[in-house]
Amino acid sequence: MSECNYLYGNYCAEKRVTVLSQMLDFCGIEKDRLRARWVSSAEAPEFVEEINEFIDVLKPLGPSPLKKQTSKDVA
Amino acid sequence: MNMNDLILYEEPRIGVFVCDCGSNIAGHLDCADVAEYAKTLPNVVYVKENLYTCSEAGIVEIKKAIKGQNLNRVVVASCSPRTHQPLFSSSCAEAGLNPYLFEMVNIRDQCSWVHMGKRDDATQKAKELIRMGVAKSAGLEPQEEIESSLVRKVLVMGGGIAGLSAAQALADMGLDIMLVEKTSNFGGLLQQVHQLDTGGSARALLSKIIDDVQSRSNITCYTKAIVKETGGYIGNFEIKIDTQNGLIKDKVGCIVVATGAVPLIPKGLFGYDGETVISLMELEQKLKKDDLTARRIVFIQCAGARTKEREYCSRICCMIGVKNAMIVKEKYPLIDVRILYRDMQMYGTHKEQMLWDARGKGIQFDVYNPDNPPEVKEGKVSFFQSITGKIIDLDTDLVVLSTPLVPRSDAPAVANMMRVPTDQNGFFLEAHAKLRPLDFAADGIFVCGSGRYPATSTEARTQGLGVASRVAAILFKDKLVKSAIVAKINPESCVGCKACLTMCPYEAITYNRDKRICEINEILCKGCGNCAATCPSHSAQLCGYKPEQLLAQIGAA
Amino acid sequence: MIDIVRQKISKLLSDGSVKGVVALAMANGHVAPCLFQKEDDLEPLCLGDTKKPGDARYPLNKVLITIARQYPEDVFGVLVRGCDERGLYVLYRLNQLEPDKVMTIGIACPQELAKACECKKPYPDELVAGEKTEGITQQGVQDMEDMDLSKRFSFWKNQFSKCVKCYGCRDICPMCFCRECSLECEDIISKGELPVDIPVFHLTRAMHMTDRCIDCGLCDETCPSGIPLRLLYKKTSKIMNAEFGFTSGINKNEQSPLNLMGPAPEK
Repeated sequence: MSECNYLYGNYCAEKRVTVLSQMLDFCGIEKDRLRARWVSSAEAPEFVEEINEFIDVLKPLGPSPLKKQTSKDVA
Repeated sequence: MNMNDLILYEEPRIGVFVCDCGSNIAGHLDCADVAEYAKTLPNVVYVKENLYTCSEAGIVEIKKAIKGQNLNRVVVASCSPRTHQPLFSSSCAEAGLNPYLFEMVNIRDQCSWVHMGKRDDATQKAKELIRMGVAKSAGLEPQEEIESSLVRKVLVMGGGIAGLSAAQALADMGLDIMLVEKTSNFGGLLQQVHQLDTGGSARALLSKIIDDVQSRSNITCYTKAIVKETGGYIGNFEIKIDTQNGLIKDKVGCIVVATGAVPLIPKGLFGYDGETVISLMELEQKLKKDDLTARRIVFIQCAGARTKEREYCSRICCMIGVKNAMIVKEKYPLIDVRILYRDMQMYGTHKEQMLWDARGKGIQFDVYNPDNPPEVKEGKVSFFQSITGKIIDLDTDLVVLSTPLVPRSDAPAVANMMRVPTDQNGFFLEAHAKLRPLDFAADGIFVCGSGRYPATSTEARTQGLGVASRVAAILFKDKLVKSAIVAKINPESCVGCKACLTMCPYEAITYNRDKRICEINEILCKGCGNCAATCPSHSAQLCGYKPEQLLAQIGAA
Repeated sequence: MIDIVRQKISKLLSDGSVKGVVALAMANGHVAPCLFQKEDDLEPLCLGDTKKPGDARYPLNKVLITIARQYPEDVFGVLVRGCDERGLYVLYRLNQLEPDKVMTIGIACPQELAKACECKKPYPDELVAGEKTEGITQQGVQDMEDMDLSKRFSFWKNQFSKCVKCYGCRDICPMCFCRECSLECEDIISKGELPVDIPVFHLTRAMHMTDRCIDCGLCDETCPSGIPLRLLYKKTSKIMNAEFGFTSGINKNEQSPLNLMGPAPEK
């Protein structure tokens, strides 16, 4: 955490994420849908692991019940 | 109104260049299909697939299209912006397009590399990333680069081999240097070293360099002096130095941090007593004074390193241990020398050869397991020899502990004063380990020597020279030109709540009492975006990363 | 109680320590904010009680900000309850008012009002009139937390669906002073469309309230659709307290943990 290129930005983000995730939970939205992790550009395996782990968490939750219908599917 | 402002009112005409990167990208995804898709995106008027967009031919294509197709935005889908953004954006500028109207999409790292072997997925993802890049580019605004003056003077903090080397090289270039050393002598850690790993005496090397540095008219030397304060910004740092003759205030263009590191004193480890169990540095002293009386010496590597509290490898102790073992063996061939190690890390082919030479000289190496470390008792070291599965007792009259270099106790204070980061071990953290190893993220401040990470004298010297060239690249320009990717505060909507002020790690924001708003010093601003994230009314925004630009990008995802 | 307040205001005006006092006046059967400037014009002064205590409150701090922006050199007095005083502390922190340009006339809320508000501190630090009453625990937030996730989801979805995007909650809020509002940023909030973007609209506002809301409850009273906004913001305050030990408006020299660099302070 203390290795942010911009010194403190990630700490600031972490604090906001803490609040937001609990607010989502309060409003009945699974807080696991929001996740913040810090992975540097030199940590490819960690990044892949994080994303795969997150996918494993998200898949069972399914699409958000609040998702709006969009028609952005790639041709 | 200049031409750049007009672009804001024109319909975006976006050109997309999809790079095959030979087979690097095209080998793993369908670039032709991606290019066809890009043609269907809003505001895209021109699409070109290149074998190598970064080649001369590729660049000519971009320039030709900007003029011929009247493009006012350019998107290149290729490799990493870290390496190639400057090339492409400056090419745009050469063709008369503001370089900030360029956007890059990384379909090599993010598509062909990570989805190798999944051609359809990689192609699909490339399309989506390009769609996002195109959406963002439509909202890009032209920016003017920021210029400021430069002071052609350099502050070097630390008079060890790294700082001395930097000062020497900078002096050769004709710059003025202020060399500040905390202790009364120059030379740093190398003063304690007997012989160099490359052969030759450390003292001889040092005195040659120190004499040279002290004889230069453009190097002002301060010993027993401490840098008290640093303010200002690249090209115009304001510094205060506490010297023996009182406080000195001055202005410098760049700052070099060469404050070094210190060897760990292995108190409480392996029965360390400074007499029969000593540290590597104490052995160097003994060799220097030539009062080695021991008959059987055991080196224990990684003493106090790679442990729970100090996880890192100090890099140079294996080499120093072997170096000293060889010096002992050469001078006193009858001394029995054993080295107990966990892994030998002899960095570089030369040093690897040194290990073989050491074995050839009859120095014995034995591996030990950190879970079952050697025990030092009176006149004896016992350890578990894994090949034989036996506990071996070695009679010994001198144990040498190879201890790591650790950050100086005042490193956090220096980091704090300069507003530069340290890593999890407390060493100074460079901007990028591979791409910018001697720079700090903060412009105009550089790092060399063991303050950054344990370094041999050769490495510290090389880094010092490297830093000198980094500094020269800045200070020999006529003026400072800085990226326009900085934050701006809209004076119309700012309510002066000062929330951004406390959030700026670079102290680039000040409060204007008369106008009751916050203002940004563009030279100090590093474009981190903390203020933009904090501002409740979107008054602080980061150029090139404005909410509408990012939201357009996200919206296209 | 009103007599003590009137005396205090009269004294402040007559000895010239303030240029004017922002308080409430009753005129033509209505309660409205009023800037009192002369000691002999204090007849219509009221404390905002009509049928019940505190049922006609206004964001007097917000009125004060408007006045102070025009007359930055002058000192003004303002009638405050516990929540209003907390609001002043936040406004000092956010540089919207200067502490040495504000004099408070503090009144305590009766137990009945404190209960209705579930107010943690129903009296100001500097009390002129009224008796300090006990703070009330935040049962409403607890009750909501005790519901299961799907119940909470349908509750808030129903509540948010009622929103007509009138911006009343923002306009009445004494902690909202920005010239440009995120809730009008068309990249985040669609314009001219109902239902509102759920939960983006309300959570955006909640996130902006996180280190500011002083729990005055004016949003609740104003909302024409009866959305329990205060409950939402009470939760943000609870999080801030649990995570960072911060309560907005409790200390005069407070610093919001969200606006401090570096990691969250040790709990």
